[in-house]
Amino acid sequence: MNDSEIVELIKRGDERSLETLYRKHYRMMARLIIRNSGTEDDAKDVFQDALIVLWEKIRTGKFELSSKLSTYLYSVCQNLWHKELNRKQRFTTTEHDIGEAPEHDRQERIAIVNACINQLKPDCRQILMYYYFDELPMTEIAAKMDFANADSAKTKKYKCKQELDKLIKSQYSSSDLFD
Amino acid sequence: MEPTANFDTQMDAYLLGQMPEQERAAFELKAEQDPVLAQEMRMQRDIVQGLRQARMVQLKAQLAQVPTPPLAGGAFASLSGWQGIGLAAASVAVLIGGLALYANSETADEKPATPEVVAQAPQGTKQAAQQAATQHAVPQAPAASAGEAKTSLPTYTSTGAFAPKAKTETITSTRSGARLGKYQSFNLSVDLPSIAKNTTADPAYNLTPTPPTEEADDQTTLDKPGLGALPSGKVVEVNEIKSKPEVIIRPSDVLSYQFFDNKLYLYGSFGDAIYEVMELTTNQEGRRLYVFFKDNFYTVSKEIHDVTPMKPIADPRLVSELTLLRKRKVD
Repeated sequence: MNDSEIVELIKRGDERSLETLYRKHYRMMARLIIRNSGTEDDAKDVFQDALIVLWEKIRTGKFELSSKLSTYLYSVCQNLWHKELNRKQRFTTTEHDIGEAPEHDRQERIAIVNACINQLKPDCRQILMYYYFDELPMTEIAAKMDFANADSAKTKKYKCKQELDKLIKSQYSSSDLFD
Repeated sequence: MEPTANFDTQMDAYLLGQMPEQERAAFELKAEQDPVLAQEMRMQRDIVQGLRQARMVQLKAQLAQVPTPPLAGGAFASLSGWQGIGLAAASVAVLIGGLALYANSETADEKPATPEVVAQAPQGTKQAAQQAATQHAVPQAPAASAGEAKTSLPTYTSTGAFAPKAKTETITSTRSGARLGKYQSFNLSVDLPSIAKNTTADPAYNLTPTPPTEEADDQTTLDKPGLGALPSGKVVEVNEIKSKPEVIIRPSDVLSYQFFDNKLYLYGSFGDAIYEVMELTTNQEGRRLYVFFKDNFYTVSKEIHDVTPMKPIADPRLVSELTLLRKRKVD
């Protein structure tokens, strides 16, 4: 399978293409990380993140195949690992301001959103993730999730989003996160 | 604010960056003037961020399930399952072929390039030590043998050091063609067809090393001072194994080892147990030494000069490959 074919598969939302890339280039990326003070777990983590970056770029139409995919992934891994090393360095050399109100609010909001997403039924969660992360059109969502057609998928997505909004609003209100 | 389908569509377009710039600016201006809308917008951003994170976690979890090739273990490491086994078989065939060629290449005046493996018994057991020190040169293989094992597969060298027999066996392979001679009795067939079949079946695996690219240089280290990049594992073509470590056994309650003066000191309760020193040489990983002892394989590194405890190799694939190679050789 060549790079163009993999990109086409990703455009169609085929997640197996990510797995193919993962197996194919794992050793190269792992060596990069391990040679730069990382562990194999770091390497897996970074490479998985890099693949998700690639996935998102292709899905949202922000990716052009101007070089080999391995070249792109390698540079993304480099950047991600740089950032991670910088973050670790900062973490060990600076004191963190804990308890700042805006940050605390943000953390609390994130926790609520995550908890509410987890309360959704799996199909609701999946359709919203496909729509807001993968940005799949309703026709593709319908095909992937066995809906009758795009309209059915759209209705389902609307209902699921309403449910999530309702859950989060009630939680935000009870936590005084709404003014 | 009670969302309507229309508002929902508008908000989605905004959140997904699909709103035209002018409309976007107007939407944001409206939110600045309307605290309720601003609050709604913030919540919707939180939701989209949460959903995106949830999806990333889902994708990462899927990728985490994908078996990764082990990093240690040479070229075999990029393979799995039957591919690895097939390649291992092919490699052993190379090993045998190389052995015959190597043996033939020795002249009468030259000493066989056997390792000076010495099982040194504890003091007071000189007899055992003498017995253990018995060395066996590799028998010379007849000239008329098959030479079909021409391949660029990894070479494999096994330095057998079986205690208490202390039979020293050297099997050295080269990348050249081979004569199997009497070693045909090893009955090691090259299973290349199955490799080709599997390679075709799964394009993710490629037996041909990926051509180096400008970015894919294994030696790349990030340009960041103080990162302490690890020593480079430069890809080296190893065609012939020239130096073999002398193995010296010392009694100890703790299984450990050290390299000193190109000698491998093994500490442990070896007694009558069988141990074996194996060497796996690949173009990618260079030479790596392994010790087999009491059903476990251990990696030993020439870089270790202090006495260091030996830990069994945990990587099941590497263990599988070493087991297979060892079994094929012993058989």
